[in-house]
Amino acid sequence: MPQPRNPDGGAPLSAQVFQILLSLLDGDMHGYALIQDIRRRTDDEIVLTASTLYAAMKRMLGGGWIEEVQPKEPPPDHDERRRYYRMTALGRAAARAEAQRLERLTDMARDKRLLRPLANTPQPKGTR
Amino acid sequence: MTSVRQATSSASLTTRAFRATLRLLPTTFPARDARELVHIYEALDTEARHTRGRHGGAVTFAQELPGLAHLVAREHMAAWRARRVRRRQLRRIASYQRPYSEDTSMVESLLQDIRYAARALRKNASFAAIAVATLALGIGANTAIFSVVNGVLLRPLAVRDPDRVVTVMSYSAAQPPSVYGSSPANFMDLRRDTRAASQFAAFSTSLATVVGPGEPESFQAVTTVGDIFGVLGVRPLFGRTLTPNDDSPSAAPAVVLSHETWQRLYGEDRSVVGRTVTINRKPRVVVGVMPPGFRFAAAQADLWTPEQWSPEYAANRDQYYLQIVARLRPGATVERFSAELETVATRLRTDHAEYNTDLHLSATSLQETIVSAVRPRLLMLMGAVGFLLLITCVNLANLTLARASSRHGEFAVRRALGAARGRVVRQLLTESVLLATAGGVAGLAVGAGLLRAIVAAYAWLNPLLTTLALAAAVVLAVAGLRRARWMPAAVPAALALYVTAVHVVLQAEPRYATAYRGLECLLLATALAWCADRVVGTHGLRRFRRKPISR
Repeated sequence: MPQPRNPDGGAPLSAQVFQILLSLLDGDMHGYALIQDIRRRTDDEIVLTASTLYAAMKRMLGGGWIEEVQPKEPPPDHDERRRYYRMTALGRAAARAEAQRLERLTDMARDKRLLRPLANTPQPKGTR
Repeated sequence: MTSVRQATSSASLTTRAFRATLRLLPTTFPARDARELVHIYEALDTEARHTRGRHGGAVTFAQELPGLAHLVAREHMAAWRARRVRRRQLRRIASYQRPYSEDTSMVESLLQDIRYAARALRKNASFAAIAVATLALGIGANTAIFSVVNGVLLRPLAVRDPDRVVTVMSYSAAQPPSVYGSSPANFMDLRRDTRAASQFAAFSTSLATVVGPGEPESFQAVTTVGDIFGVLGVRPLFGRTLTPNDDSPSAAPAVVLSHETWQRLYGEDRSVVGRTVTINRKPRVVVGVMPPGFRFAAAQADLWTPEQWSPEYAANRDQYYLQIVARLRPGATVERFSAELETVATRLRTDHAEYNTDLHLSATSLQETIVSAVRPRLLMLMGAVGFLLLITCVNLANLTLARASSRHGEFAVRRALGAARGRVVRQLLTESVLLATAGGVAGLAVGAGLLRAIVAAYAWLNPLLTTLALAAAVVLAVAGLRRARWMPAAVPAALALYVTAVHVVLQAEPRYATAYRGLECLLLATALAWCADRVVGTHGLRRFRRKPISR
């Protein structure tokens, strides 16, 4: 698998890009749905606007992390202007790399007893 | 119901604002992306109105703005980079098409331009001929008239300190004022009773029959009293001039010859001084010869003789024929001298009332006296020639315009073959300069010819005009760029500049033709209005006014 090149340049992904990738893990989505999903998952901590979302999507499309797809069957509220996006293998690799980086960071924090050690049984994601 | 309508109209307002902001994006921004952006924004806007109420739309728009500004800036940057890359590629391609352009030097390409311009003008010889002829006439007439005006109005007299030489005028204050000569006794009085002038002289002119070495001939003689040559500050070519001693009745009768008279009677024989010549049956001794061109006191002055008044004649007050000239003392002004003269006149009016009824005296500078007669005529001529120049410009511009429209194809082909726009403009510039130079040279030739004709035709009119040969030298100086005075040089230079500008602008940018035509109409209208005003205003209307309106 080729090493994913971060379209943002630096090693850490921006919070927005990481969240978009996380949302697309669940399946293909259009722009407005992405904004809603991210806002809901982060409890309004990360709120994307139309133009910030557009800018991020453009960079990710350019880097080959996501691709545009036609929905198999158009949903009932279909709008011509709506575009659907799917994560590529490259995007998945990038998201995983970022998650591993974050994991290493939290491990370091745990070693320093900044965080509580993990229980033996791994906890489900998102219920830390 | 009302609140829903408000919400709808307000929603459309912020959405419209968002759409308007999107127009700031570069034209290369994909329309599909823009549509998606608007769609997402509309969804966010609607949602915000549902959850936040009336101000939801405004809040969404405010949140959107920073990201939008960032997007606009980034897209413009990207578009600019893309353009730069494209330009570089085009330039690389163009450099293969134009193998010579980078190698030829500036001088070589200039010579190439000149050769091409000459060929182009030769190919369109009628255009070139008409343009050069128009320029030649316009510049020629202006140069000639300017030389005349320069020679007469602007150049000082050929005498020493001309601003200190004045003429004394006797006149009556009655309406209309009449100017007349001074009597011998009045001349003696004012010479004695004024202080502002250091030297006085009087003169009169008459025809004299001269019997010299050959047949008797008629000459224009100037009879003088006092040191007239001293007043003017001129020296003889050789021999001496007349002095106050020559005025004494006991002195040997003397005569000073003009250069032309000397040539005619004696064929430039320098041993003429001391010889006797009979003038009006009175033998006189030639004492000196004046330098060529000196003709003061009459357009045609062939010889100068002293009056040699007897004391009785000098006291007479009823011969009003003398013209008086004087040289002011250093520091004295014409006004002060005039005031002194008026004091003398007041006394003369009371002491010798029978001869000097209503006598007034005043001084005018010699330059003013000589020039005032021709000044209005010259200035009018100058104005007329100015309009000739204007018409020249209009004509040339029309010619150029007509030519430009027939040359679009040529420029298009040159551009298509890889000529840079600057190169085409330089080509036009070269053509214009070539045309203007030819016109300028021809104009100077025409000007010199016209000047000679004017001098020949009007030499009798004014003694100063004979000095126009000097003004002709000015024209030659312009041609040779030797002692070019900026004023006459500026006329052809300005015209050349104007022609160049019009030529280049109209050929390179034919879309300005309409604007130019407007300007031309304005100029012509102004000229016509001026002419109409001159003709009707000064002659026609005045004539009408003289007629009584009612029967």
